Amino acid sequence: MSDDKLAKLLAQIQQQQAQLQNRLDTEQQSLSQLAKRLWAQQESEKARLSRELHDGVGQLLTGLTRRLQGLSKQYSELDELVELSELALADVRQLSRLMSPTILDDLGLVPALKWLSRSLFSHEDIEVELQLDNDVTANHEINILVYRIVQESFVNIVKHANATKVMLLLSSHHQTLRLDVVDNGDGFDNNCITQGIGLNSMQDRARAFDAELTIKSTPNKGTRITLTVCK
Amino acid sequence: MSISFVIADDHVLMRQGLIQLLSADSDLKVIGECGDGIALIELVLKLNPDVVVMDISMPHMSGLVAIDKLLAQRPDSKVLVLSMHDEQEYIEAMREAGAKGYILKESSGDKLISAIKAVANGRTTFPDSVEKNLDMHNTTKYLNPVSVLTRREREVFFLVVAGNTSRKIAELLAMSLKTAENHRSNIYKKLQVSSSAELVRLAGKAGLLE
Repeated sequence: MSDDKLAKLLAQIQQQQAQLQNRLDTEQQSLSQLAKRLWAQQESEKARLSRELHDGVGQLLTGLTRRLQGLSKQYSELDELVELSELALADVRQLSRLMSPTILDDLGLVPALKWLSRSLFSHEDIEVELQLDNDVTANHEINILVYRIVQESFVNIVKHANATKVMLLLSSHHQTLRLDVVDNGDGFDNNCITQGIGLNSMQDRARAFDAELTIKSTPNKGTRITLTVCK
Repeated sequence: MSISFVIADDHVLMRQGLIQLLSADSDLKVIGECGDGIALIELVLKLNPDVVVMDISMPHMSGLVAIDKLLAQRPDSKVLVLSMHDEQEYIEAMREAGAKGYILKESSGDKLISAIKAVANGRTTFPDSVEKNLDMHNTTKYLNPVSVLTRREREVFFLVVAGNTSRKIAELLAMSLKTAENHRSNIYKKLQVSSSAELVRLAGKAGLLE
């Protein structure tokens, strides 16, 4: 084959490659958009359920509690029922809050994370250390991402880790936000654990927002989860 | 002398109910109402009320941003936050932002009226610690609660959960009232609850209710 022909062929291949790369990029982009939409949809579904819980069952329980409170002034044996319905109401409210954290929209990421750690750890034998940079601000999407990653990590710690200490660090540098959740619990072997739905969904979620999530763990030496994301 | 105030809450029914409630007090006079943070700032700057009563979760501009902007333009505004949120993070955030008071929507009308008067008179009023529902979330570490109880305590446990009084339990299990009460208090201690209602909830979470 002459040099001329070869060069022509090469150029053709290069062009084809560029086209393919282009298509791949476009497809990847639309996949990532799809993933984002899915997560957003899940959030709005949760928000809807949370509102329904709060406004539906919550209101009914409020009504019930008020009625019982009124009656218990005459009948002291109702005191226990009053307390039970107050507890039920508080449970429903708490569930509704965890499902859709309005505190995130109302007050921002740092107060929301403080509330979350208090809610999840206050009755556990776990010492919690928070180092949250007050100036960290991000858009709503990223706020939700960070919040949900922390929530999932915390729930894992309470359920599986047997930890006595947890550290939550949040900082930002230029355009990057960094989050670390560290515990001193049982840990696991990175290689042999079949990642449960929790860890996998954290990874998926992070990927959808072009964030990097690393999970490092050693048996008996705790776990560190690190998220870095562009604000 | 009457106290003038404006009120911001995005729930129209809630707002109207409040206005009706507050208008019944001859010392209070509502001079404006609105449903979001942006409108609130305009309203306050125009009407100069003695007190600003506002919600936190509102469309367009949240209460936290609104209070910040309002105080930047009218630093002596006396803001009373009226909210459904009893978490300490909310109370702290609003206090730090410069609110003079914070009151829960579920409070009685009398309490609300005296909170407005307190704020109008230059005092501050915040809940001490309204966070009573935090123990709600230790759902995750539930062992079967009865596993830590002795056989006798289990019998008592189920009778308490079924709504029996200590006297009735003593009768059913042929023991003295004092013994029944001792068992009961041991159970409370072991399971870290302080009332039979909490015990019932715990039993429910562990699937022990019929």
